[in-house]
Amino acid sequence: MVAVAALILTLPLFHLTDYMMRVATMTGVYVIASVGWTLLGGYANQISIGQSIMFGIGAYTSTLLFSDFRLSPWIGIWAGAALAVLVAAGIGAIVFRLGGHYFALATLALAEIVRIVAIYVQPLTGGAGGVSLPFVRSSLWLLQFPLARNYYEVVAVAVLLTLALARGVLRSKLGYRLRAIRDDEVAARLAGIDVFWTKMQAFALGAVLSAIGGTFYAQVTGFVDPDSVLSITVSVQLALYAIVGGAQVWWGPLLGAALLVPLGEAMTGSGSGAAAGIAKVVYGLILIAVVVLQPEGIAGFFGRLGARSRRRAPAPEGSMTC
Amino acid sequence: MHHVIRSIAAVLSGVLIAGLLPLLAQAGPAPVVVGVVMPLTGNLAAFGKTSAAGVELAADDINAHGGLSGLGGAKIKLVIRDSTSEAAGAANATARLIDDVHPIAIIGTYASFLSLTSSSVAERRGIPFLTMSFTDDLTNRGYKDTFQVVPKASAIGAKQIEYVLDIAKHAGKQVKKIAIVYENTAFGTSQAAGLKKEAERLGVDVALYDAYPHGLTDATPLVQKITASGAQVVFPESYFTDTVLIVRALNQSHAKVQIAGGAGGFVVPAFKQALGPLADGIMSIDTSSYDAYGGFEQRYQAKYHTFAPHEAYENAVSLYAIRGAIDESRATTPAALRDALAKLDVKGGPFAGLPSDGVKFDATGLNALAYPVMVQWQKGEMVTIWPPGPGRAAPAWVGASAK
Amino acid sequence: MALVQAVVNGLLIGGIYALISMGLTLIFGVMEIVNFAQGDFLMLGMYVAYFAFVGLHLDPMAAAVLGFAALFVLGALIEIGLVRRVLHGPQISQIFLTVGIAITLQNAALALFGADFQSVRVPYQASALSVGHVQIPVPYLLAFAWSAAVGIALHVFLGRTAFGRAIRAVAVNEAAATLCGVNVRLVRMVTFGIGAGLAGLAGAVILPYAYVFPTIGLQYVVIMFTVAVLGGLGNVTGAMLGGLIVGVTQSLSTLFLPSALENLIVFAIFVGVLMIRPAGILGRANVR
Repeated sequence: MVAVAALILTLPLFHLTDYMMRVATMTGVYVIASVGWTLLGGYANQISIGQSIMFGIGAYTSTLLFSDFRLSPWIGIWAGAALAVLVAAGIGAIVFRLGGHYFALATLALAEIVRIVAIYVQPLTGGAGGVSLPFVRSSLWLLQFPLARNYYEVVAVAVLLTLALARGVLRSKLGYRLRAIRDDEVAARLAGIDVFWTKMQAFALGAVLSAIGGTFYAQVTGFVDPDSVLSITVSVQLALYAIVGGAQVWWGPLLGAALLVPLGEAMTGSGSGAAAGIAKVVYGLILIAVVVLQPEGIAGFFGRLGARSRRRAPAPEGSMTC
Repeated sequence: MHHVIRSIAAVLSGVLIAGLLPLLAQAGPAPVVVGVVMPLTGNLAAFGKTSAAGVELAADDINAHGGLSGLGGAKIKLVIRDSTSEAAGAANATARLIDDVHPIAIIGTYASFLSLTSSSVAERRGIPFLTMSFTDDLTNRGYKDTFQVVPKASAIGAKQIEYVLDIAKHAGKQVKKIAIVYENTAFGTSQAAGLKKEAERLGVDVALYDAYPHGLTDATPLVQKITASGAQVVFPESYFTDTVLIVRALNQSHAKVQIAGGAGGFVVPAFKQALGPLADGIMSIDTSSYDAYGGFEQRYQAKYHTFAPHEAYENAVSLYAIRGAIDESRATTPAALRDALAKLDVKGGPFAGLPSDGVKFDATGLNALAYPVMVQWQKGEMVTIWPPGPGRAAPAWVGASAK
Repeated sequence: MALVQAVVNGLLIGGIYALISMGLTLIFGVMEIVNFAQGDFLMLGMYVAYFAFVGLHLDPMAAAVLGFAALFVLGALIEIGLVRRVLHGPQISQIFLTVGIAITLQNAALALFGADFQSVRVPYQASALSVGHVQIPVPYLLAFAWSAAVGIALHVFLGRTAFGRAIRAVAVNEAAATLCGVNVRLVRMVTFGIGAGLAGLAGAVILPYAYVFPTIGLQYVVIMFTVAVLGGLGNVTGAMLGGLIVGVTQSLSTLFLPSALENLIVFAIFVGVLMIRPAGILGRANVR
């Protein structure tokens, strides 16, 4: 933890360009939001493909409060988090009894519903046109800066707090209960664990983090629309960073985002369309390679780090006569 | 072994010399770097590609004709980057471009939602940003560095209905009832809103005002609504993909209704390829007069074997505007160029394809001269029909009369 | 009258949605993999039909066979090379393997075929049969016919042939199937191939009324999931029912609601069905 903190905090000393600091900042934003996914998705293996709901709520709430009422994002960030918790409670009540793929698909459908509604209620959200965040002046209170470096300093602190929380949860009683659910939900229930309440705690806490990530995203990009914060792509991204890094360790989302976000940027090409396409093919192939070679994420590569993996019993191969 | 090393050395020195040659040959003033950020991947890649192609063609033209005269014949050097088709990607690509090559100006990013994030990065870094995106938001945010060479969406929408009423009148028809269907995007909603407001002001009955999700998998329910509304004219504000489904489904329903599209998917080469004879008679608003592109059109045809779509031309116009401002002011910094663009007042020549024939930015950065035209597909060709003028084709009304 | 027309439209498009989704549901039924690349298999099938049209002057309705064959081969190769390796891994790695495949296919298509929108021109494209006051668009009708034919063929194949029964056996119980002499590896490979092939076929069949470009699969993939879940993931007959429900719902809802909300109703039904009958309307998630 100390090493990670040192690395994150000293990054600005390396005289990186504004663009690089921007990528580092976006990486941090996704780490926060992706940890929000992993509390339930990774620790308890309840794979949601709807985390964009929380990310979007965070992004929209602070942005609308700022553009309509000039309310500081530092207030908006908590308003967004609170709203995300409420929505999480509602969604959890509906979908927690579904398991496996059905849970994933239900969250996907709910995320689509939220996206459609966000586009439809144009007077409130600006509809498909989105909301531009007016640039008022450089100010920490308004969380607006001309340079990415300043955003980075704020986001870096938030990332450290998030990682400390993720680590704390993993080692807390909640963490044990989540892992029990991951290993065997029925057994966990029989052992007296309140499965519903455990899932809800992790989901609500995760909603707070993803919403906070959403607010930072909006501040850094200065623009929010349904496609950029409420699409399936966002949900997939948040889960993907955690999975590639390792979904059952607190540093998984950090590792995954720190690899994939800069890689995705490096693989964003220039020149003609064909070259741009090839660069992204390489990105896709790298993803495939990681998933096929390290199904437990890169964390699996470092051996068993406290987290046990649940595997289905492999079916006997080969053939016999009946 | 020795000759292996020798041949490697020979190749290396060859490469070195080849690399240095252009530098030696370039005895003139340092080139001026202009950034181009366009969606080259993702679902908007087709439009990003043609946009970038237009700017490249303009740069080749300028460089082949003596470069920038204001800077002693300096050449323009374009650096083209992929914005992806996502808002955050556009912002990142813009920031990276600024860091990497310190451009004097940036041209981008085709789609309104991409231009919104690109331009906010450019604004914060003080780099002039020129765009042909339509949305009103681009120039109503109080930005100093954003310049919009085309009319904005609400104005385009308003002219769409105004022109159609004029054309109908010219054909001896009266339009009483219309339908507006628009895709649920920044472009569709803002243009449709402008259209509806103007239609109501002119006392036309908007029998249907319906948004649909962009990327339709089936247009028949939408078309059923259009035919049920009894509208004489339908205004689809849509990109290419939905446009094709809507036009085909309208034909399947045997509806006799005049189609007057909102630029977007109606004025691209793929439209003709996809619809063939079905295209005939369809009108669309457009932000430039394709039949007046002149030399640009010929060069585009020669290079890409298809007609130049409006985004190619209008992005080229952005570069010509930069040229005009530099030649006028000898600007070598983004800040100086910004001031020169604000004072720019050019007409004719490469700007002849704009209905306004020129560019002059107002205090918000909008091209104050800009106004749209109505075009129509006639016998497989897209011709400008309204406002009427010398060299313009006569409109052909195909819709039904008022019942 | 509008109601009848809306129902007819809904049934036609619903049949097409069913065809698009059958491959997804078959793959899930046998291998329990939710394949996010299925939309991109559809996209590739559209390109196969497009190039067959341009190069061989073949009507997409005939090129559907080529679409099936090409995607069958690709699907089988992907199963052997990639899917097989994660089949017994964690569920998340399966989902995200297919996401990786989707990203790769989309951008490979962009690099190879370019970003342009492509479509074909066939004589029946804009024509419709008039039955009373109801219009039946010909391209939809032909695609619907393909859907019905494929649905029946698949039903017969799974129910009446030895290999079909082997597929079902693997879907029900892999271990038992193995014990009964079923070559499970072969079954999985062929199933994934058929699943991909069906998407390829569907892509070809819808090309006459649609268009193709590298990321078009994204427009269809959510519809595929909805149809498959409504019918019961893994239930091929159910996909037919699911498709019709989605098609008719979309079509009817636009009579009363803004078009922007047509998918809202579909997803609401989707979530509702999951709540009440997680295994879909026709129940048990096994291939039938």
